[in-house]
Amino acid sequence: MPIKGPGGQMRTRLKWMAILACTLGFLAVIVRLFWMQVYHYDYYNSWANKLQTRDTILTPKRGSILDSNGVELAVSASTERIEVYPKLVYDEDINDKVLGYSKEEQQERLAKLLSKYLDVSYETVLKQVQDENYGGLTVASGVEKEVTDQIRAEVQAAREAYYTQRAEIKKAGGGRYTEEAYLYTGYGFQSDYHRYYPLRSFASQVVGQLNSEGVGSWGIEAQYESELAGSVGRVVRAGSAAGDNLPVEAEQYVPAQDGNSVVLAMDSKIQEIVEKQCETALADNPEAAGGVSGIVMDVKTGDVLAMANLPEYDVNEPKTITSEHLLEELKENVAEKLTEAGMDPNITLSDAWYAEGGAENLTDAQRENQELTKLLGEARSEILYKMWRISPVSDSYEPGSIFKLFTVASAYEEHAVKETDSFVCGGRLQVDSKTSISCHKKGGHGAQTLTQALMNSCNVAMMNISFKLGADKFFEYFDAFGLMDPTGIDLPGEPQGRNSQMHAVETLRKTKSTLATASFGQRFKVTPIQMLSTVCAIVDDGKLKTPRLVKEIRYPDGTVKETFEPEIKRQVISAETSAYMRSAMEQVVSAGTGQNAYVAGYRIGGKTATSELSTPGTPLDEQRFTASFVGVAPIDDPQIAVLVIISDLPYEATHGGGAIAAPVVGRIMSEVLPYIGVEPVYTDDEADRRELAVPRVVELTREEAQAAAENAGLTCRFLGEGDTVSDQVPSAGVKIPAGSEMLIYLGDRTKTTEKVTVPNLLGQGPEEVEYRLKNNNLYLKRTGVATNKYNWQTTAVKQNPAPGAKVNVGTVIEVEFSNTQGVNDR
Amino acid sequence: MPAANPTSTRGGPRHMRPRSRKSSLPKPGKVDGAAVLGVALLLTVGLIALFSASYVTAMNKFDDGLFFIKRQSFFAVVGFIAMLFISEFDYHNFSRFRNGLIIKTLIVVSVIFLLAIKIPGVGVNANGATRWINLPVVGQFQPSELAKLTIIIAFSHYAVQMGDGIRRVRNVLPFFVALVAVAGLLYLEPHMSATVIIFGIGLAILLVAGMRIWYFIPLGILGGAAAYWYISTQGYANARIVAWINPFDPEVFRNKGWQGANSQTAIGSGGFWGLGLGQGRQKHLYLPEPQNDFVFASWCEEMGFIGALLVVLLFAYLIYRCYFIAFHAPDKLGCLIGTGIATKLAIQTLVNMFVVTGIFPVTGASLPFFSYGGTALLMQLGEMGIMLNISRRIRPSDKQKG
Repeated sequence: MPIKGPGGQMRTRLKWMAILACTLGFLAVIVRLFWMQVYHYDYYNSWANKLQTRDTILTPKRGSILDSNGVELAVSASTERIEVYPKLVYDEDINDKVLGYSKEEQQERLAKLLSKYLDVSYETVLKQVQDENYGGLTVASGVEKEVTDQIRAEVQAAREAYYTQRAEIKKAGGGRYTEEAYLYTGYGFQSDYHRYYPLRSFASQVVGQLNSEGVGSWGIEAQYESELAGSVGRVVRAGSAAGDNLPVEAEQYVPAQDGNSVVLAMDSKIQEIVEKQCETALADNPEAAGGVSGIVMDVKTGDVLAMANLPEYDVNEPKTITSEHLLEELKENVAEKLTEAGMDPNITLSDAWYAEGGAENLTDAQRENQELTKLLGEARSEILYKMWRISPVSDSYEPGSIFKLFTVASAYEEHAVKETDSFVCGGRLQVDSKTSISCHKKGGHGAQTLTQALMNSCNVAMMNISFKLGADKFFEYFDAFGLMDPTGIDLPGEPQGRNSQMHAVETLRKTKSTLATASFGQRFKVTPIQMLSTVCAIVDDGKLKTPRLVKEIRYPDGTVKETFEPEIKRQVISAETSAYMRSAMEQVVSAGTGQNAYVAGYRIGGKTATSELSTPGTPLDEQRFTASFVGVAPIDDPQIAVLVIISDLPYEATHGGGAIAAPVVGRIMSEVLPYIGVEPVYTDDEADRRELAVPRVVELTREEAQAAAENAGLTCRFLGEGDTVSDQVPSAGVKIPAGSEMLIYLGDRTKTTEKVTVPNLLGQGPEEVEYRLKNNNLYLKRTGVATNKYNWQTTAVKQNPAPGAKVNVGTVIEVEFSNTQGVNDR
Repeated sequence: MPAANPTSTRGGPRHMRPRSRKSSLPKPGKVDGAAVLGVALLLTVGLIALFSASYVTAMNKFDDGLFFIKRQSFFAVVGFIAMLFISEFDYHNFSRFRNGLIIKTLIVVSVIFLLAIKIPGVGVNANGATRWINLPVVGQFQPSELAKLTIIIAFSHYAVQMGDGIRRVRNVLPFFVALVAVAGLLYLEPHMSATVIIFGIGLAILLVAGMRIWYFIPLGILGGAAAYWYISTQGYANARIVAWINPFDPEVFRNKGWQGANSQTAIGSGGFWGLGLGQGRQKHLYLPEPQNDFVFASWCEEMGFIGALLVVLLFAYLIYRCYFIAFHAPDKLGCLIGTGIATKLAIQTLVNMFVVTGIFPVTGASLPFFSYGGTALLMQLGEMGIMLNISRRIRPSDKQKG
């Protein structure tokens, strides 16, 4: 058979086949490629970004809240969030085929690893790891880097074990892997932040807190949310399907913008003083159902230097109630709610539930009762909201006699009254045909000057002054002093709109008794922050400022973004009226109802208040009172104003503002004024309050020692025989009150090393105190009411060190005296 | 049977018609340089693409980024030398040697291998299909590769023996029986793409050998019916069709669609110029087996439309060159073997490209010269050696027409 070449038909068919394959086939590929890579590039590229970028966001670091000295009140710490990617947990190539772990075993191994280091149970993690309906699940957030590093280390160790053993097995030509060898897959770390409040319960309501989404829900955290939050960044960082970052340049990277820091005008040192003194006040007045609030304001700027509202809470655990008072209230609230719902109010709930809430602290039976859990939740929320409330800003109160400053200032400004006017008080005033209103002093104050009317806190005088001023002017000034509108303080929760707790001007006009009661601060309400702003305006030449907490916003790098200047709203009264008011207020403290607020060396002005909370006609033993005091210092050049409110006291407890609130303000002043750099200046009357440094007299002769003591403003007593001083009490440099007696030992005699027991001085009069301390060779440092205001009712109310303490001879014992007589203002 | 008439006009354009019939074959000449160059270029580009695409997976699985490329390079060098060596081996020996002993041996070995796959312990299972067997010395080996070569040589040999008798139904029937038998074995693996390729090769050889065109009508109906049955009854295939139509649907993506979607995303996101060699992102464990079936997708991502076009044109040119050699083969046997090898290369290439670009639903088809796999590469280069041997016999006057 001859060999033939391909025939014509073959070639034709071959040619068509070649054309079909090379032209049509590859043309289709080229068209398709062009379609995908050029024409529809954007579509596929967006898919690439979607696929390659993990569905996560970059959390910005929230800005800090700092006090005026830069002390951190709220900071965010870098933590990590741990996620599992259930579909990627199973590794077939190595973990299964080489190491022999089944899918279940691999899931268990990952769950075991994570639950070992995290505060999550093994069962919970395993459930998440096995749930392949989800691409990614969060196992734990807010995990500190120390913990995640431990996980990383274990993962790395297992990985290294695998490769080392693999190399060994290869070398040896066989062998088995140990349990250590493993490649963990299907988990990942994301950066996260946790909010800390380093000072815990410090200024808790003001600093505020975050909700579960990390958004500010109270206080400064809420008010300055937009500054603090920063902006969320997008992870357009490419990642591999296993969750690692890709080693390529990120194309679209939107970084998280960290939040700005907020710098408060608040000074943590002053806040600390105020909180400490408010706590003392709450301890001294345990029956104060409404707690104790204290505000310190910079008179010139309206800056809030401190704002305490007790009881406070730990912002780190905002849902935990620690205050006994609030716990008691919670128990009452629970009983009330259950009774209302027709359930048994005598239910037994664990202490843990009262303190922390949460279903886990209920019994199983309680947990299953949905109606019960709902009611319990409500009852607890109400108390929590009360605890979180920034009461001085949100809650209105009847200001009482402090408001008399307003009445006098307005009338003085309008020339309705003058300093020399005489106001006669007969103990009671018939305001109209139906109503007669009494003064707190039933016998009447007799004839008084305008200043004396304030010093006595005379209601009758105030009523008469308000009548002279007239309802329209009264209301006009009320409005002008900013009491009708929100102050505009930069905190959430201030009542908005016009003050609905004040009478309409028509009512004041129509019913004289309404105007009369309003003149001494009753039957209408303002917020404490409004009242303090008004007082600041009265003493600062009439200038009304917007109170503020934040003075500066800083960028995350610490540079200043924005500084807020103090804002003067308007001048309400003249400088002259203001000057008169300051002198009158000083008299209130130096000789009037405010004498317990006296601080030696400082000129302090103020006003007491004891406001009635109950409606008229309530039996005396059921009435409730709020005691308060506002102090301003130094009154000749006001710098700070302090308002202390002790709320909701029963009649049987001491409830006078002059008796219990004024000393608190005095204590705050005595610490804050030196701190802000106001030097004490002692008058002759105050000589015994001055403190002098003890000179060194050891090794001097008797004569030289005496001269040295006298030079230093001290007296001395010699003990023992001889010419040379062998020892002295107190030691050189110790400060003791002027005129105190030094003990100088001569010859062989030296001071005793035996300790002295501090006697109990509380409740005793000044002479008794002085005598007993001298007997024990201890020194007396007097605080509280001025020495020239001592009367038969003056008693020691505080002492430091406490009774029974063992101290060295010559120790200075601080004793605070207080008057209970002559400070009554209602 | 009328012999092909040299003056007939049915044979296509004048210049393509054989001019003369010599009773003896021309002496072996030089190999077709263009084809050698095409192979060398594709082999080089293929190795570069494989290196970049496989690096991450190799690192991840074997802690050695060069794991795949080292082995593939070795086979490439060995295969290229083998190709040149085989080009010296006269293809007529397949037919002539001891009365077709080579062909008979190939058939027997192929059938044994295809059956051996089903023996537990011999067949190697991967991803739910058994397509490999373990051989002593050779290692893992894909019997379907051998089956393809066997079909090419055996069909060519028997078609030449049959001469014009191929036009009769009863003569062409044994070929179809053989095709269906082999396809059935492949289908049972299951290995859908190999089944399709075997059919394609067989049909191409029969067609060129002179099978009547109208046979395609019943064949088409039968094929269509088979495809319909396959898709509608095999859930696994059905899911692939759904995944093919809209791989980006979230539900589909999570199940069957992610291979296709990731591949298309890789290609599309490469854009016109590509992300740059080594800069691909989809190979980071998104692309399934980027060293294997989806190496071209990774290449398109990194080298863009321009790089993809280069590879497509290289393939097109080499395939064209293979058909050219077949066209100018000195005899019917050379023409048919050449047709088979060229068609195999063409279908294999196109199926892979159709799959990765989403024109076809996803099926396991590797890309010649690119995909990782030692035996496949050796077989491919060996086949190119046969091709080159055919080119040695082209008459010098025909060579210039290339």
